[in-house]
Amino acid sequence: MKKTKLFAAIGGLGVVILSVFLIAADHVDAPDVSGTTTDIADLYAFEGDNPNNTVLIATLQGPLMPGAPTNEAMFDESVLIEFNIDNTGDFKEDLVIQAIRRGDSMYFFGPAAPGQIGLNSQVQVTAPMSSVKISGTGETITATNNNMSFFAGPRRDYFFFDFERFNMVTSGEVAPEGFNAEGTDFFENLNVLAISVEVPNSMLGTAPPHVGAAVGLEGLPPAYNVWVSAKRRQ
Amino acid sequence: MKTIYKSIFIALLAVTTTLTFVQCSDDDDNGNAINEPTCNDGMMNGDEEGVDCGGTCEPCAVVLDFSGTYVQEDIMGRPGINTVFGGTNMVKNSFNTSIVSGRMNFQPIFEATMENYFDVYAMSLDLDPELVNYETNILGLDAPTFTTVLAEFDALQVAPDGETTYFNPATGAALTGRNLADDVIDISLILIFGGGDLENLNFSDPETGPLLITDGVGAGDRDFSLAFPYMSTVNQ
Amino acid sequence: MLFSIIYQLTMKRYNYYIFILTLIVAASCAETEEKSVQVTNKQDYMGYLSTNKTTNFDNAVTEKDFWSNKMDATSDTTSVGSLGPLAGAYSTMFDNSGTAAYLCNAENLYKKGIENSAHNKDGFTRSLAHNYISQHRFKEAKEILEESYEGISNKRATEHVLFDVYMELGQYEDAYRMMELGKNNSDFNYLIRVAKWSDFKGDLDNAIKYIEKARDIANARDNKSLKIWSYTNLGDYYGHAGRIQDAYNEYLKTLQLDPENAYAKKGIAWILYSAEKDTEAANQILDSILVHHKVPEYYLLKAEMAEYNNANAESEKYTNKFLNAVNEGNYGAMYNAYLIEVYADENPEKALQIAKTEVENRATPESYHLLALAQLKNNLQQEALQTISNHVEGKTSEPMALYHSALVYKANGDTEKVETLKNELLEAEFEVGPVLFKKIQDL
Repeated sequence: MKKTKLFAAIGGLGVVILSVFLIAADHVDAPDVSGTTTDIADLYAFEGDNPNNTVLIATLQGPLMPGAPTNEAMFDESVLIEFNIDNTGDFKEDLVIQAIRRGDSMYFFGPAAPGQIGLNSQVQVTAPMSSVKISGTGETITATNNNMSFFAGPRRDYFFFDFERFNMVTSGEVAPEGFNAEGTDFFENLNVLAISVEVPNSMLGTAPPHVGAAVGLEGLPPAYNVWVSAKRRQ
Repeated sequence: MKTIYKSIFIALLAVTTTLTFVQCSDDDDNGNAINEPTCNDGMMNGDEEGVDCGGTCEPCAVVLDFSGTYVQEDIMGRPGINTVFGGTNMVKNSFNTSIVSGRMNFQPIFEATMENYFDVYAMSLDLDPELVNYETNILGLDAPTFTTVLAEFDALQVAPDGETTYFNPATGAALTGRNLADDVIDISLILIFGGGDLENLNFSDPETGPLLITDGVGAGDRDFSLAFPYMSTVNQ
Repeated sequence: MLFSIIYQLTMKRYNYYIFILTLIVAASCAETEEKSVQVTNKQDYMGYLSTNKTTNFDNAVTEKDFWSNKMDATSDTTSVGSLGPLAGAYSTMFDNSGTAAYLCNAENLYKKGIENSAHNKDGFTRSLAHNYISQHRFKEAKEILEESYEGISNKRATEHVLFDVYMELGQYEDAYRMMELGKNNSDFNYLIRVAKWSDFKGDLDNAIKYIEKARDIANARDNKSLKIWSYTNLGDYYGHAGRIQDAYNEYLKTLQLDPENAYAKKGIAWILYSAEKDTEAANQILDSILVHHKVPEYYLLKAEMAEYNNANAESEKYTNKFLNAVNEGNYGAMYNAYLIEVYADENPEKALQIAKTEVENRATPESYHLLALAQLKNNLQQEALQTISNHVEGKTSEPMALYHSALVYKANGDTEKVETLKNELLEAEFEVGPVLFKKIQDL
């Protein structure tokens, strides 16, 4: 299962784009319509090495092949990545941490209350701003500011999944066998672009009661509700 | 922030409500009286393109523009929602442009999609699809409740105190985060196909029937011991 | 001559309304002198010609190998994860070499994707449709897209590709409907389509305006492939508008991003030939492209330049090279429009036969004026007139269509219409190139 946009990312495809070169008569062949730069691959959220911190990681534009596709992958300056934190339990964002590229750096704003909730956002330019230089392939540049840590750049894809077999399971093609006991990790040798923030929990407010209680799951600790969105400038 | 920042920033504020920032070059101005144009006299002179920048000086700072309205094109909470339930028109066309708190309409679609997976396997085994169904899972959630959680509460629950994990069979902790090492695929498959008994999961034995509760893939040689940003550099 | 005809096909229509408005001026100065303007500077582009690198192609081969190895490693699966990127790599190899076999490889992979993908049949369908458009198999593209659109699919993405196909097939109302469904002035995909639509309506000013907006988005996103796409298209549109310096600048900007970009080099070659009458420099560019990018159409431009230099034997040689390249290249219907032109004089029957196929394939004014030409060359003046009256007149402002219309009207003795068209065409000197311009003057 998994990977939000895996299916969309595959097949649409990114590589082709322009058939301008051959038949001039059809020069206005459009570039491929599936813009992949807003595609979120994964969201991770976990306790940091410092147990008072939470780490938020969004991966984007995956899967990327090693070599030129990884080296040339770039964050899109028109795409705002937003980590949303609901600390009241209504699944509406009370705080956002925003990330957007300008030039060779990734700029971060927040955590701060969003100007508006929902589908549209503005960059919260009045919120505390931090930035980190975007790492190149093979390097790791991090920055700290306001007790937070920041990173942006290409990374190995940490998502592991027998995607090919999953497709066959889903399509019914390998019914009734299902999965292989020994699967093949499609993402093993692939990469992604990652944006990472480590933030003190004290900056995220008090966590609300766990949503599990609403469906009869008792005993779960208070928990923020966290999701990531990719928004494009209009 | 240095002079350039201030002057450009203020100038822009004066002219427009658009908020902008600059990346600074790091020359300080000083108060020396100067006759010849220099790159630190606080004036735009000589061949400079801005105050003390451009021309023979350091390149001018870049004005950063963060203005505009940004509109949602993609969204993700738990792993795999789109992937598992993405085979319908409604999910393809509106899930990624909906808000988390506005997804009531997706629940019936999710439930039907999930049930359909069972039907496919029932038919391939010559069983009556009516008899092969989702069973209340190890969390004790029946099909409507489980798909309600998936459709309407699609966020990672992240606990500030205690273990954060999607599900850790060893400690029993669940729904408190998502670690890089968490096998979210197997967990999700177990929640969908496994039924209610963790010790005796359905669809778990390829010798006797379909294997549907694991994809047979682990994290391999990914390194989980790293400090921030916790993920290793790229595959070459 | 031949290439300028082709060039028209490429460079599309022109601003009919502007012509009307400027007719009087045009008439007074059109035949005064053989103009030659200086826009290019060898130092700007020579560095891009000497390169022996084929980075784009080599990278695509590396990608092809990677994904095909990945497929081999999981031979017990249908490999839908690798099919898309593998097909994409083949498409890039085609774009950068002109070898049609790569396009067929991509086609077969997309078909496998449609067959085997559980949730993304529509994504593979759009890719296959795109591939069919490149192959000029428009009807098949339409068929699979319409079926996919009816079924489970991402509607907006499919509407964009449907627009492209409907435009190719001359189903303009359907195209417009698809375009309007996705109306969004900050969407690159919408803007490039509304630009194409504006151009089709003869509104070059708006076509340029929309492409410039798309270009701004590509710049803001700092997206290399969208930038290249925008710059080359904008270069062409500036060319239509006679803004030669602007066109040249766009091609140069393209080459800064992609030093191997054959399309931009060809654009500069056209400027050298059409505006500066420097066929030696233009040929130098074409020869440098032909080392790695063996696409038949370059031979046509070489043939036309030879004709301009009155080197008729050489012109014939390159025309034959073009024909050989098309015949050996397994290009299917991709070069039909060109072939009609080439055969019109020497083998009019064959030209007519291809023209009929082409009209069957895409019933657009751009196909019908070629049919009319073929009819004319087969001494079917009346049929030709009917074709122009029913399917071309008032439906396109593309110079080539206007020129062929003028030929047909002339053969049918309608001197008034010939004169009107002639005056319009004289405004398109850069776009038509000197060989055709001379023929227009002689109309």
